[in-house]
Amino acid sequence: MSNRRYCFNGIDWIFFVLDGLSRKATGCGTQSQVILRLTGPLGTAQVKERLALFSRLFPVISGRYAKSWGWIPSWSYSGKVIREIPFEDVDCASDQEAMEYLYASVNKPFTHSVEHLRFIHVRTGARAYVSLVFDHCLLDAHGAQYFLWLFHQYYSGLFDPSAQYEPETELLWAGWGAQFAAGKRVACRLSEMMAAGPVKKLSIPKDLSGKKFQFRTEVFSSSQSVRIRENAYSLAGYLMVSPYLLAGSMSVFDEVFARPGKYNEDYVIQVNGDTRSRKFSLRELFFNHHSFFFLRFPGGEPFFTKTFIRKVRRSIYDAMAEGFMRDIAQAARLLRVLPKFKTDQALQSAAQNTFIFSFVNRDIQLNEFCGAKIDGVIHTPRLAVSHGVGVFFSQSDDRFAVTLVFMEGVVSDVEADIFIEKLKNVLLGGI
Amino acid sequence: MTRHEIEQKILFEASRILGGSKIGLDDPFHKMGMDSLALIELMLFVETEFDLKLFDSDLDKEDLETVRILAGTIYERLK
Repeated sequence: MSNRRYCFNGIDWIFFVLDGLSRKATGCGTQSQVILRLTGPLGTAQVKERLALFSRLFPVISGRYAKSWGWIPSWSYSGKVIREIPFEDVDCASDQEAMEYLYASVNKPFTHSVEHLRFIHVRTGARAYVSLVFDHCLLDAHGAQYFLWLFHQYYSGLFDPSAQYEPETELLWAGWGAQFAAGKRVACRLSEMMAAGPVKKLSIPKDLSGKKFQFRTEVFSSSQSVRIRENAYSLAGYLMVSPYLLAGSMSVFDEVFARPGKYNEDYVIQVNGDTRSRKFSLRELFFNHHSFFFLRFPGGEPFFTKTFIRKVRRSIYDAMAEGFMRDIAQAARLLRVLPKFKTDQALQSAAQNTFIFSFVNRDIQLNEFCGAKIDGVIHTPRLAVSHGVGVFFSQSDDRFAVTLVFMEGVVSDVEADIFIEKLKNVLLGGI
Repeated sequence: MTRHEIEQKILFEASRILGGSKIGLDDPFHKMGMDSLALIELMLFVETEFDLKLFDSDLDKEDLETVRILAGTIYERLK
């Protein structure tokens, strides 16, 4: 069967390079994981059998990096799946033990060069968890949720086998002028942002060999989620949940992690956002369809005030109005033609931020999975190694969840626990 | 511009932002999968199309929640 290829877009290429840097530093790449918390266990044998059949529909999952025509970074795959998705079925004594197992699983490298997904089912008595560990070069967070949703559709007999799921390659080797113009705007904006004074950031250990990422998660109940949404609407405005969550995160970060004497340093925050069309498209299932932008705020301010929340909202608006996120996605395509060591340098210098903020909330509503009810969706990504911490929010079936991600040694266990507890209080309490 | 014309423009743009989803004049945006970034996109369209500064004004859910309500808010501002 003939080989197929997908040419990386700029963000795919960034993830591929970050993956290499992460492997070199820690022994494990930029993997991520989406966890579904279920009210009861799955029928393991049936799910395992169906998953094997389902995965055969997507030969792209057993692809690997290649250079097309000698120089274009691509994903190459054959017409059939050559390695099935590993399926782990585990029993744990408690929810805490289950989460510890899943936190460890995302730090475990894939065992083969064409293995990019791992499926885990954990039973804890009354409750169960399902997780998809994924290679961020193949899927992004939304894509991973879509993949699980599609599998649920397949399991339930609702999957349309005639649908087009072959990824649309984003060659785009034309439009150099527009890419350079976007690159120039991004470079100007970033250098302006970085020249404005020192940036508050957490120190990363020099020797990262074998270091793992750690996580703290909180799934909010339905009534707590309603309260958070009402607080956000009243303080930030209708639908303005992101500015509210970001201001809350900054406030708690400042209180828990900011060290004395560093109050004159500003915050630079990387905000991730999705760039794919909001209507679910199978052709946008695989690879990376998000981008990001940066926001800078002076340090030492009271961050959880209506004034500051409105300032965050305005900053997001300005970044959108100026096309910051779109420009970064477009400019990233230029990185594909740089020598790899140059891309490494560019990405390491661009990653000088305080923390990463993300909110996965697009319209895929996962509330049931293969016969079990979902009562929480949690994301536990490994970050790029140069980042200190990440605050990742997700929303599914109107329930919010949050994950604090950090590399071991960057913050202490006690600080991480305090962060989550305070964040919960701040978001639920409002002002 | 009539109220109906404003509604049609907003309806078209909101549907485009939501990936071509069919939406009705009275469907609340939050139930149609619109989030903060999507609403900002819609506000940017409104500001360009109608030459209005809406984002910074103190508008609440009651002024923005559906295509019909938003079009009414714009209509009043344009008068």
